[in-house]
Amino acid sequence: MRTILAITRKEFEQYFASPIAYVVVALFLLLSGIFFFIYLQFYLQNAAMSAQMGGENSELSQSIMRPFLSNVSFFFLIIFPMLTMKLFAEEKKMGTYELLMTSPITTTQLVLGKYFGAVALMAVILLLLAVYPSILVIFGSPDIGPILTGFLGLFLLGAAFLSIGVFCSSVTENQIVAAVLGFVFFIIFWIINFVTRSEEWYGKLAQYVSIYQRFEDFTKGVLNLNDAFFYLSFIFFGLFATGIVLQSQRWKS
Amino acid sequence: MIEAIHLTKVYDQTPALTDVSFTVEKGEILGFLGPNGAGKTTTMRILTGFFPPTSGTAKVAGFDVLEQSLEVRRRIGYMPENPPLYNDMTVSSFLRFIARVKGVPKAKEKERTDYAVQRCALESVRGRLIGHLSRGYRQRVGLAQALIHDPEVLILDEPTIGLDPTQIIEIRQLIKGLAGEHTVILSSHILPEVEQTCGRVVIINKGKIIAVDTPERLSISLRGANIYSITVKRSSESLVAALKSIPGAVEIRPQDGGVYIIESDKETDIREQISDTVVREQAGLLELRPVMFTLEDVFVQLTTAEEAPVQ
Repeated sequence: MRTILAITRKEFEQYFASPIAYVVVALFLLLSGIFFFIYLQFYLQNAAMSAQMGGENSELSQSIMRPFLSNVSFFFLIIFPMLTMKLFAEEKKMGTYELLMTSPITTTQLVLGKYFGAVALMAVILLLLAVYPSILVIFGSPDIGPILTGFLGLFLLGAAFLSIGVFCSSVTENQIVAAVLGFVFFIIFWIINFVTRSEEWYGKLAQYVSIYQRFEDFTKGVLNLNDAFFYLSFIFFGLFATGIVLQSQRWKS
Repeated sequence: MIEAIHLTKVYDQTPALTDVSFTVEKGEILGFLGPNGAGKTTTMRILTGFFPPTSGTAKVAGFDVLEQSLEVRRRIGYMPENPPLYNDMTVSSFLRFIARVKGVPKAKEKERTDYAVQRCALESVRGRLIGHLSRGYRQRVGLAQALIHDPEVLILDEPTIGLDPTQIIEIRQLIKGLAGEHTVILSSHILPEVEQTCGRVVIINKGKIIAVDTPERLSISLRGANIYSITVKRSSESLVAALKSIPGAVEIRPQDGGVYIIESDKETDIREQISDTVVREQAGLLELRPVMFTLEDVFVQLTTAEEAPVQ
């Protein structure tokens, strides 16, 4: 456990030593800020209109946070290939991988350590993203429940996709290749999500495997054990595949 | 302490190592000598468990590198060639990370880090980023990370490559000081280094071991003859004739300045007869010494000759 944490801490600290993380995170927060602003504008216009009509204001978290989180979830995943690309690829390129592989650590410890490092960075990003709902809490009284489950959903969604990113980094020693591979997976998931609209059998299948569909439940404030289990098995699968790849590379070299 | 048994490594059908066997005793410094691409790094990577051999096996401290890789890795400190380091970490945070990864217990973490820092003279650069360090310091950080968990075995791949002469001497002294407490294998393609540092030398070329011995014995066993050089005050033809008549003397080669090179067959020591003869001829003996082959000669001969003269 101490070994895993040592690797996690190293990865986490190294994120802040390179400009990539700062740029990517800043870009993400900027984009999500624009989305937040737009939905806030919509809400205020509607509120002004319904006030004229004498109607009631709609609920804050349903009308702002839900569409906001839905949109954010899309490009939330785009940033991860850029954050996970270095995890194994850079070590292999720099030769520091040799240090790790000749240290008394298991492949499991190595993969988990690196994965948790990326998850820790994602947690920081979510913490920064929480600035937007905090604005609603300070200036209004939104329903907190769906916001919290929405963030939990975002965390699980991100954690699932991070395991894919870790995998992509393990198969190559070129960071760009790792990132591009991550984007390919991102596009595949995006297409799967698109297919879910179909009424055909493949639409049903897509609904079953889509990582975005599961997320929608969370934004509604629904906590579904099935969904959580889906994400956790997804993570397990991604990390397991990474472990297999690393082990086979050792034996093939 | 270390036992390599018929190690063979094949990369994409190209053999990098063919049937390499050797042993290293506890506390010994073994030198791996060979030109670039001879298989030194490959051997070290097998011993450290970085990759498995194609066939054969090795034991470190009684543990099999294949079956008990973790146990082996716990007992080995490895410094790869041009030690790969995290340039964006400071020396102390890097060493702390390595200590944890190598399983140094929490209570001993500070003590071991301090020890490695002090032993490798890194006090002045503790807080500096590794990427900003000079080559000599990087090398020392590489050595410090190998030492940090107090391993029984140290494996050092080209520890002095790219250093300036003062730094080379420092590192060599450091390594020598580590013998005894640790068993050391170091590789080098620089001969005087191995000659000065190591108790025993393995000469390796094209993936094969071509000689294993102490540096002194290697140079002795190489020459087919004993060779002596004498310097006399007064050269004369009769001296040459008299020297030639010594039983066992094979060849006399007069040189400039009263110097004669005398070759005798390998088994007989004719130094006494030489001095007697020179005195009898009243030539005025100024110097009599055996001509030593340096390891360099051995090396060149072993690695260039098709048939190595060493049995």
